Amino acid sequence: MTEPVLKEVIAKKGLVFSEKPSLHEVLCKPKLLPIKSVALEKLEALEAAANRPPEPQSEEDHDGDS
Amino acid sequence: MSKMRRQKLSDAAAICGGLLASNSRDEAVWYLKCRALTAEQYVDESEMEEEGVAEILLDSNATADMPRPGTSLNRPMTRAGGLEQGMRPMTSSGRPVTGFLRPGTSSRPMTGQQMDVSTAMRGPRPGTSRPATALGREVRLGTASLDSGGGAAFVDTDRLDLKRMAKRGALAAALVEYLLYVERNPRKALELAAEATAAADFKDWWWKARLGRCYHKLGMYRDAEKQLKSSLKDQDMLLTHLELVKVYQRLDLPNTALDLLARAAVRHDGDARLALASARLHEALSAAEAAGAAYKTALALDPTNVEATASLAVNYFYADQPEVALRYYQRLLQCGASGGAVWNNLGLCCFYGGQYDMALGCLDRALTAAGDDIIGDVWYNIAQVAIGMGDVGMAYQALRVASTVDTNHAESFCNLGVLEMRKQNNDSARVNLLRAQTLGPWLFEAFYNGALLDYRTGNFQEAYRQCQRALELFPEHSECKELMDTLAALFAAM
Repeated sequence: MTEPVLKEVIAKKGLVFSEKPSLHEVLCKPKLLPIKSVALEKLEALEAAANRPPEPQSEEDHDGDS
Repeated sequence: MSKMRRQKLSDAAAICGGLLASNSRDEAVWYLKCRALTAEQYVDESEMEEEGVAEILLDSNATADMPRPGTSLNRPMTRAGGLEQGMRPMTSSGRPVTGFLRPGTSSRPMTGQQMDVSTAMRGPRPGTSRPATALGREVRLGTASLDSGGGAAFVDTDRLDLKRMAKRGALAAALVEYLLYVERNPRKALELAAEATAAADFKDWWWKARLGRCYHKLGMYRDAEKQLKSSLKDQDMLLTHLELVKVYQRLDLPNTALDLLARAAVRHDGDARLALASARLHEALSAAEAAGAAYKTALALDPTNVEATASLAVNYFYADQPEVALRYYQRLLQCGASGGAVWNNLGLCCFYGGQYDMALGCLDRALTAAGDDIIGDVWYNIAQVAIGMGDVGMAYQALRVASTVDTNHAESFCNLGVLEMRKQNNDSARVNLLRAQTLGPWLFEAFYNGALLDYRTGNFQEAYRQCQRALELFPEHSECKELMDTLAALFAAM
């Protein structure tokens, strides 16, 4: 009995072990936000208060002075 | 006193002011007002203070000019790039993003980064800048606190007889704290502390510790080290150890600080602050595993500690375990931290952990809770989720909003450039990528994408230049190396 002949299928350009990947764009990664410490929040509040312009004096004070 | 105990400090100070107006010699009321004003302005000293531009550029405290890797805070164990850079975003100082932001976090650019005025001026977050000097900032805060509160007429420090005050025990202690935290006058505080130490016959650990703190604020770190060590000899106190660690950090001696913490942990086991301090040092040295282990120790000792929880969550997220990170952020919510940052992080962890139904809801909450400083980041992350879902239109709109609300958001411009590249709008992509490169010179993605765009449009010279910049920032990026090889082969063939 003749054994079945297996037909080999080989790529015409030769055996392919790995393909050179095409270059793709790279997205920036998702950003986890750091949690602020209590000390930093207080410092920022103090700095914001320091940078705030001074409140204008009330009219009563002016009347009192004059 | 009742108001003081309930933390209604300005009311307490006002009542004391009224009482002092009728009897200015009442020492108990004077003491109470002093403590109330100090408590209002007090900031936890166990965390580092922000360094000024002058401190960074003109630092003469570093022990070695060319330190070995892992022995200096400016030269960590590994370059903070490596494979981790492929997974974790970087900050402007070249270090990976951390889970917790405290004063002095990521304060210094690393060795190898361009050290000039513009780099030093850059603050820890994009769009912010540093004060010129730390002492100048303190003086400004002190002036503001005196202008705003009732402190202006409270103590006339120029006319104080410090020698006499130094003998008054508790009053002197209250006054030195007032000088440090309200008036922000470390020189005057130093004089008072020196007199008080001498009056206590150089045996009082508390006054030596205060002397050390005053020297620290004045930038005299070696003197501070001497005083704090002397204070520790008299009384081994945890807070003094932590102050000494801060001084060693300023002197750029992280291994000395770590040794000190290891010795202190033997005596003061059970306190999470020592483990936290060593974790921060390991993080600054880019020793991620040691930092993670230290944070876990801190969390075992104090399960509600926000810093340890947040830092571990970030480590797990960028190590491809978002479900574990999700558990940590849920814990933070349970502990009461519920700002925009927590909701944003929850949303990202839900999405990448597969809980798609929760993700957008959390990000929506983040939008409501976020302040101006992080709103751009939240929109950027919404765009990331949209890209992950395949909704490019929504991603485009979200990135547009992010770049509008925060015009310094480099990552948004970079991703906008990528979306434009995919739509074949090369000119628009180029503009966005150039903007991203200018705003974020630490972003290797912006340079790589710019190089790829130029390569595709035939501008090989520019592509080569940008590819070089990208490889300087992230040498192990495989696609960037491949692009470089392709360009080099092209140039060789020409």
